[in-house]
Amino acid sequence: MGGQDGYSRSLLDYNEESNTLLAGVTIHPSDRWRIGLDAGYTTAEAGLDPFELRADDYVARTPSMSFDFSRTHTYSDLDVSRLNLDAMFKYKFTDAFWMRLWYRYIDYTDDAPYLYDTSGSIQWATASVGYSF
Amino acid sequence: MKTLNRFVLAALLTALPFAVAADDGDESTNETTASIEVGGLYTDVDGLPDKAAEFNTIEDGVVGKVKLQTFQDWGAVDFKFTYLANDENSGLLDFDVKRMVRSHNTYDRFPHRLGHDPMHNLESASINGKAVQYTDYSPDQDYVLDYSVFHDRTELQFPGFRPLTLAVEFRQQERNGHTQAFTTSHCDSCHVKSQAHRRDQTTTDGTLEAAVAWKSGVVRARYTDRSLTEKHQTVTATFDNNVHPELQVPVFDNRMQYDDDVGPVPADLKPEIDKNTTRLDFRWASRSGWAITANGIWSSTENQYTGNNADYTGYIATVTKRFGDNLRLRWRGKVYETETNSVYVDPIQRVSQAGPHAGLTYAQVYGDTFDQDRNSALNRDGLESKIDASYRLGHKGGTVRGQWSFKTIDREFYEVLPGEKKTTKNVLGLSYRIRPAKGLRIDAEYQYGDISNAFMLIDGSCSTLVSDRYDNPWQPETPQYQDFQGARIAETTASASSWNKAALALGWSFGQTTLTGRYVYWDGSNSDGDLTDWSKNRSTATVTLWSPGGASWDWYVGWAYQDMTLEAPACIPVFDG
Repeated sequence: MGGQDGYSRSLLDYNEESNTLLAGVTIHPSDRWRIGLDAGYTTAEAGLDPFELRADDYVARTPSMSFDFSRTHTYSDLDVSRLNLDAMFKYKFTDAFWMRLWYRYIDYTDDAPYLYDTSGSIQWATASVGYSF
Repeated sequence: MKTLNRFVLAALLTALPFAVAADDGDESTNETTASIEVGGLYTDVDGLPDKAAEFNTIEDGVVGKVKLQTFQDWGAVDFKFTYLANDENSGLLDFDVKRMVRSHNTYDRFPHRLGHDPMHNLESASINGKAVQYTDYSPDQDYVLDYSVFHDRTELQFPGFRPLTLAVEFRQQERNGHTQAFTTSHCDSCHVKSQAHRRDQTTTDGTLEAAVAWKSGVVRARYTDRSLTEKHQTVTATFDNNVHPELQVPVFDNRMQYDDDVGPVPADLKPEIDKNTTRLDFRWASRSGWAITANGIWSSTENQYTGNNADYTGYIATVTKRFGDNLRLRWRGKVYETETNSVYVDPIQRVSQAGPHAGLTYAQVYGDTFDQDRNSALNRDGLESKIDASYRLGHKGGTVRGQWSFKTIDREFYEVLPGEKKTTKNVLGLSYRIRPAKGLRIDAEYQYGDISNAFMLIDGSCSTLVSDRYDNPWQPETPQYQDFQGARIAETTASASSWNKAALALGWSFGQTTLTGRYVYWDGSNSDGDLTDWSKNRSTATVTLWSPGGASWDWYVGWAYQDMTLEAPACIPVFDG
């Protein structure tokens, strides 16, 4: 038991920044068909600046203890990006009968995993026909 | 599934007016449109879907969409149902029968992926036998909650007495699946164990409402009963044996509440909750420009497992008055009280099995039983007042608006600074809006906030204790944890005691294109307590450009930006033991 020798204190700086870009266009040159395209891209970063909580005198007296916080600022940092793409195509064969194609792509990239790497991408695609009456 | 069944039942009930109309010989002189769409869904996942599809299906299969709209002499029906997958679908059903029965029903279902913490960061050991380790009893479990919610509101209005409206609301939310349950054993090692906790949670709201309206006002009374039920409230866990990490003997039993000697115990408790809320609303407006509202809310929430009870009572009033064409005054006041019962904590007094404290409880050695009344930090009386005045500077001079907001929280037990239980917040604001040219609008706003005794934790960190060195923790003069805690001197916080906010917004329409933008800057700090030194600033900006393009196309682009800097102190005790 080495007892206690007061405290060690430091001011921490935490910074976060995020950017999102969105764009989309819908084209419907006639009543027969319609095309839609949408895209979104987000980046987000956050983290602590490196810091120290030194206890040099205490560590010198108590060699079994370590007050090395040189990597602690990386434990909860954040560096992620997300890409969304959407496309839709609808064509009317007649006023009552149509087909629709829809596609979505999402890619999530985790460049600073915390508990585990959550990166992944997924695609959805549907093809359907419709009838109104 | 129960919520889907209720939605289907509501849809079938809607068919009744069709039958009634047919029996009455009503003519369907109006119109009915319907459509059906069927197809297939293909999905492909690369990596993990936990974030990329956090709230979306990853199933392949059939997709479908059904729509029905009919407008008849007896009323109208609007029905939509979209099926993307078994775990992602939604529906809408609105119907109106001769303006006597109006019903709005919605149904939504989607998955929520929670992620599986592999706990790999919980693996370390020190040179003298202290260790952190983990065990995952459900390593292959996907932690996903299947979320669904059904909401119905049906209003009844009688031809003989139109001012009266009766309403019934029913809302049922379900969360079915598994969550990750953690338990932690201490002493021998910090041993974190994880296992799947089956969840079948249902939250049901039933509401009765009655409103009487007249030309210039309305009075409404409303009662809601809510119940939250959990079919599997706990999992079962067996904690590790409390032994000294190096000596491997049970010397710490009188410092722990229990270990493996009590066998399996309930853990990860999710209690069932009952809540009831009564609300009264009054609204009145006069021809002379006065408008008054008054509301009263009374609610009671009970934890069914512990019997703990939390009550809330609140009253809100607003008064608005126009003076001429240019000046408007508005005031809003609120008083409220929350009260949660205190809990008596009676720690188990165990005896140590070995070592210097063998046969003794902690209280017998140190004199402290830690029996206590644990009082609620939420118990408080609140008072809020907000007044704003706006004045239009002529036809093209814009509108200037000033506001003053005042809030107090008077806590019953919790101190936010030594001897202080009351927090007072004042916010002063000034804004200006002008349309300097056709299609152009500019808004500018500034606010200043001042908070006396902002929420803080008194003596929350920076323990100043300087002790001797001891061979073992059983020597009577060895400082105990409460001695370390009692020597702390720093007030910690995550709240500003003063702040500034400035915002500028722009809206500009040129040709067929519209540009909108907004920038907000916030800067706050708190150095009111000992060693507090907390500060934060944030900038946010959004810009959107939209154009219909032409008759056959439209487009948009947008950008959003946020930047935040936080400065706060960290303080750790320098000790071993």
